[in-house]
Amino acid sequence: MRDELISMFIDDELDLDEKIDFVRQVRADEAFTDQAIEFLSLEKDLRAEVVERVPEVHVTSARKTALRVIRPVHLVAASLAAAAALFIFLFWPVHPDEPGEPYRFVIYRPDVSRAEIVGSFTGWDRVPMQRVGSSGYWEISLDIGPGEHRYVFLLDGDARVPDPTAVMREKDDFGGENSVLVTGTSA
Amino acid sequence: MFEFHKEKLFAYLMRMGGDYELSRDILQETFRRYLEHYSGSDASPSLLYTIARNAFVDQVRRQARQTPLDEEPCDRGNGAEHEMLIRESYHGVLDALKALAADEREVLSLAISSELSYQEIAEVMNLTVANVKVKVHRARKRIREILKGGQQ
Repeated sequence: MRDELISMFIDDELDLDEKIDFVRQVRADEAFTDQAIEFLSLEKDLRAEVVERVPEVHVTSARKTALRVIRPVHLVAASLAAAAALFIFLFWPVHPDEPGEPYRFVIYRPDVSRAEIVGSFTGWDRVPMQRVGSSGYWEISLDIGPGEHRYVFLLDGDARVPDPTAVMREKDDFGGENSVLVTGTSA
Repeated sequence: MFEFHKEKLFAYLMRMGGDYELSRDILQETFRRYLEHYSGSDASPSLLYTIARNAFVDQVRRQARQTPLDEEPCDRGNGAEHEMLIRESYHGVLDALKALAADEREVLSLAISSELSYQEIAEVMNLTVANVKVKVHRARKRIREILKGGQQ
């Protein structure tokens, strides 16, 4: 138990009585002092920065949440049509789980002029995605049915980009990566 | 809220799996799941870590189905660029974390990455607080031994 006081001290888990106990132990026992210092030094290494740069993540649904408070009736007439389109876009479920529902693929790439999707469910034929207004998003809804699917986005004709919202990926035979999607089962 | 938690969550996932790309994907999945299922509720850090942990476990299971587990769960192709983003000085710690038993790595990753209390860690990991107390210190002792061994 005495040992564990060191971790509890590090993790700020000691109550006042335990703190008194800890200080007494440190004072009374030199070996314990050294040990405590050793663990504290180790902790500095453990808690050091892991990476040079934390990656950007595209949380596409974040926009959905951000705009959840917007209701069409509150929008001015001039922006109504555009806003309604965006509203529908943002509220449409991205990944419905119900079998038979179209599956909606979305990618945020304002910097490209063309986005397509190819996958096992398109017979690996290119299917163009639609630009969603000027939002920077591209989308397409496809009936893909239940099962395990592989797909990738094609940007500006040739850049293969796996779906940033899909966790599973696997290498294809050409050195690239495909996204893997399993539908018909709950996450 | 995500910006606030992003760095710590990412560090947690890195310590759990040691893979930049995997951690990024799971981070994204964590936020997606949070928004999909909990966006109306309070964003407690322990909820986010619970979601992240579940997403991590799901991913490990998926990998296990695709490839034999524990061969090189942390090395995926196309990773050279991402490998560079891991701090040189931290590689040794990641290797040592990898050498811990899974439950020790997990409890220690939570303790050092999050600002969760032992009580909250216990909830995330489904353990008792007493258990967390024991495991967290055991993991520190173990990683100290591993790192010492590596220096010799």
